[in-house]
Amino acid sequence: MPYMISWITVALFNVSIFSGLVVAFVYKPSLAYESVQKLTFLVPYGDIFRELHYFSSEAFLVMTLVHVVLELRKKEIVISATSWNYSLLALGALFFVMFTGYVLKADLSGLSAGEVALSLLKQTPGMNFFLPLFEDTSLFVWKFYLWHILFLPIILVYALLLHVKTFRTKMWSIGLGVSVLCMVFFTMPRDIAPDMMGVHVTGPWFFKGAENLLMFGIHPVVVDVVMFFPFALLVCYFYKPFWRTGIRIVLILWSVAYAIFSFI
Amino acid sequence: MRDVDTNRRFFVKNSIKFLPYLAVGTFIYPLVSYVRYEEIQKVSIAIPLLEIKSNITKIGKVLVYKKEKEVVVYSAHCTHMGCILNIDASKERFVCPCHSSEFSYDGVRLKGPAKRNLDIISSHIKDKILYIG
Amino acid sequence: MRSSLLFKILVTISIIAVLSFMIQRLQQPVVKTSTPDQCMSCHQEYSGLSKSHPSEVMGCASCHGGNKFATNASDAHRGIVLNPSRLEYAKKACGNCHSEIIDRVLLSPMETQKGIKDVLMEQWIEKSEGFKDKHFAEELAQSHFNKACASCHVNQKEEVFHDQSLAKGGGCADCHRMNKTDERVHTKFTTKIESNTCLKCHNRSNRIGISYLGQFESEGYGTPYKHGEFSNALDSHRFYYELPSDVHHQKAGMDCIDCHSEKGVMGDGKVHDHMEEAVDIQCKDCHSPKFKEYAPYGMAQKLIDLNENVPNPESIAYTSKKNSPIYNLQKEDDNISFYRKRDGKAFELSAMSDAPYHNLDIHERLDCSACHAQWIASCYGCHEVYFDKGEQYDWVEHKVTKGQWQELRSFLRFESPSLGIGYNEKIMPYAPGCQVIGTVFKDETIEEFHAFAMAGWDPHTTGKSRTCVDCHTDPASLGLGRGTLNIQKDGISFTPIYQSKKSGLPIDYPIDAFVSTEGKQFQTTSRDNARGFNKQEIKDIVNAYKCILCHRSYEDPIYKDFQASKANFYAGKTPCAK
Repeated sequence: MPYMISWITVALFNVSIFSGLVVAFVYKPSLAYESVQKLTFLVPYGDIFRELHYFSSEAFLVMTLVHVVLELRKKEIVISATSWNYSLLALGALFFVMFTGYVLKADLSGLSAGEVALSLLKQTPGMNFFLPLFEDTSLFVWKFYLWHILFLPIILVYALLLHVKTFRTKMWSIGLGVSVLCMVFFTMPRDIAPDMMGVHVTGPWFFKGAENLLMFGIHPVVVDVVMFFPFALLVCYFYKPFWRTGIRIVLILWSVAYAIFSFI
Repeated sequence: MRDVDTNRRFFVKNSIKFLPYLAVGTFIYPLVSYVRYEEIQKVSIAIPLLEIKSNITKIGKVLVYKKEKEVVVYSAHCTHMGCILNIDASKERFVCPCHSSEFSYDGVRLKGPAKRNLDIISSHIKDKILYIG
Repeated sequence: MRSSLLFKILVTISIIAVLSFMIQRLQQPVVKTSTPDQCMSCHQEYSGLSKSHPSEVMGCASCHGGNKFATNASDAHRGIVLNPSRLEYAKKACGNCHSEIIDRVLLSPMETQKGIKDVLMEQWIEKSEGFKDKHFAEELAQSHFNKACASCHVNQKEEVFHDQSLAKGGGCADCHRMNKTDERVHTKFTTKIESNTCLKCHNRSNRIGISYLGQFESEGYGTPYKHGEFSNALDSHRFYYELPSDVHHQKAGMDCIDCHSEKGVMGDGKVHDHMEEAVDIQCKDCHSPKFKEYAPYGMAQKLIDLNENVPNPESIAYTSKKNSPIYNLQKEDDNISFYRKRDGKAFELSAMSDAPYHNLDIHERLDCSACHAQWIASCYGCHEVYFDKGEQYDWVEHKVTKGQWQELRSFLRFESPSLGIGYNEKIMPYAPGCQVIGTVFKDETIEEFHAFAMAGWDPHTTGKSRTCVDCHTDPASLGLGRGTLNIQKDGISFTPIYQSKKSGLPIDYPIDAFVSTEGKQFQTTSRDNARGFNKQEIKDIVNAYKCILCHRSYEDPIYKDFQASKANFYAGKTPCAK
């Protein structure tokens, strides 16, 4: 069946949206950490929905990346420029929606990740201008919350529709099945209480490389460029057919380098 | 003259197409101002000194250090990447949970990837109440 | 579109996965939730720490940490603390209510051991003889402290003690925990701390704790043997004789806490150089009490309420040093009552009488303990041996490290306490504190050093006063040592019994001699203003014998107005003057 991977990816997106709506019922940004704990331990079956949301989203990201790799391996690009460009927009939005979701759990790792992100924004020249879009002085998670449940999903859905045309898929049950299998075979990382001592927190796995770069003292602007680089390459990939092989190689090198940096 | 006519015609014909965008464009500036508004939290936090029970406390995003004669207030953001510091009473230090930078109670950077000392937030005491900011 | 085989397979797997997961999950019971936190949903059997810390109100996580929402063990116990009263956790666990106490305890000598450390360093580095290298002296003193002294402090790790019944430390629990039992019940805290708890640590050094109970640490034979076993054991290798205990214990069964106030024990927030500066209570606080009314919501009321055994009086006594409420010494109308904190039993309190022995201005400089201490544990000559190749447990690093100490003593005495001028500039009992003769086995050499010091303290053996002759004519009391005092027309001379050189000691004065008849001080002290008697003082003290010979008792009329009697004597108007 053609594009099976792609449709499973869409199915996972559907599960993520559905489970996201469910957990949004209990999540309270004003008592972020407490509401997440309540969801996980007190609300009946709240842990199922939380894990469903977590695993379906992670699986969605992973499958998206698999999909990108598979498509890049093909000789021809069969979609339009619009579809291509919006897919890149969706990919960017996806990383940010995953990141804001990570911050929203408001445990020590989430809050610290949020602080680091704001710090990064402040230290990138020009981006300081957009700081109020992400920073709220009285309720830390608030703007992240708006981005995660509203702005980014709107962008993501809009962009994805222009890429995929529909979200209806026969694979919806497989999406659910994959998520449940992940729940069975993997464990969600434990929350770290915001006031816990003597712990070392890290960020989401896909930003580990960037985090390590920052830890080694690389300037934030450089890190921004490094993270944006593959997207720039992918835009060029469409418009410069002659460069495609070269771009593929560079992308592979970039990925390997990033992976190495993630594990240091 | 012909070219001018053509240009004018072009302009009139196509203005219907791009004037709407111009109209919407007038929203851009208000929108940017709207989105960029942030409540200026220059409002001081006022705490009666007696309520600060311990000599080192974290109140929101500031660290309050009550010394014998004075009170010093630091920003609780690590000077590396901004994570909120924890108080480690056994080592008498502030420790960052992200990359393990450490600061003394005097705000001096001791170890880790942070390079600068802690930012001091201005505060003053009036009538036994501590005003921060 | 025809569905492919792969699609069908994947859908089937998904259906099976979802169904089996959900069925299994739906069969699990819904976790019962409880208030105030979820800990109680598993741990119902644990009640709170004490009546004022009910678990129904405070929950468990507010002190012990962990995740208070979690309903499974691994999530709930993440970050949990078994003993949150350990001082490194106490600020967070107890700090919402008790933070100022914790700040005080952290600075108190029971935690810092500042006095012990400072005096040890001063004695071995500055006031010792025989060391060639001061740095080495410092190293040695530090090693000695770590291995021989450091086991006693409030925040010591309890787990490191082999015999858990002797475990010390644990933070607040060190003092406040009621007896550990084997049952799995929640630790209980009390403010009615038993004296035995204090004696966990206060059974060494100047032996105040055990002296109060009438126990004198003996040479170590463990006699009398009872049923073929050692008796009177302090621990596995130390034994005691029974001597008269302190009258407060004998007559009233009082505990340490009946006198020692909260501020004196837990610290007053200041760093003190020596223990006596931290101690709050003095004899006069109860025996010449000053009563004040107390505020309805202050510390005094809190303590009375917490105790539940003592009544709410009109006024209570306060300590003169640090103004702490002595809430068990109460005045109602004109009746003064003293209550034992443990059970509220009332006792009659004898106020300090204004008899001549208390009022004579020639006795102005006497501390209460100078006359009223029945005996003092005098441990002469401590032979400290250091083996650099041996290994011994280090109580600070909590592991066995290089360097081993062995401690051996010369002889012990308790009677006729020496006297000298103490840290409060008053005359008090003196005893060795400490007399160190050290042998150091280092590399292939043997180094020797010694540091002889005497120290003054109230030995907590309060009883009936000593007799006049006991102080005025006993050379031991004067600080001369044990021997024969010859009083001649032109002065006094003293023949000691103890021969230091013959006993192999590197000093040329008797081991129990604090001063000579000329007032020369042989041994050092560890306080700037503490010293033995000087020549004039010895002369004056001994000269009193001339009166005491005949005027033996305070009923004697000359003591009614002693200055007048003295004036008469010098004017030649008295029978003895002739």
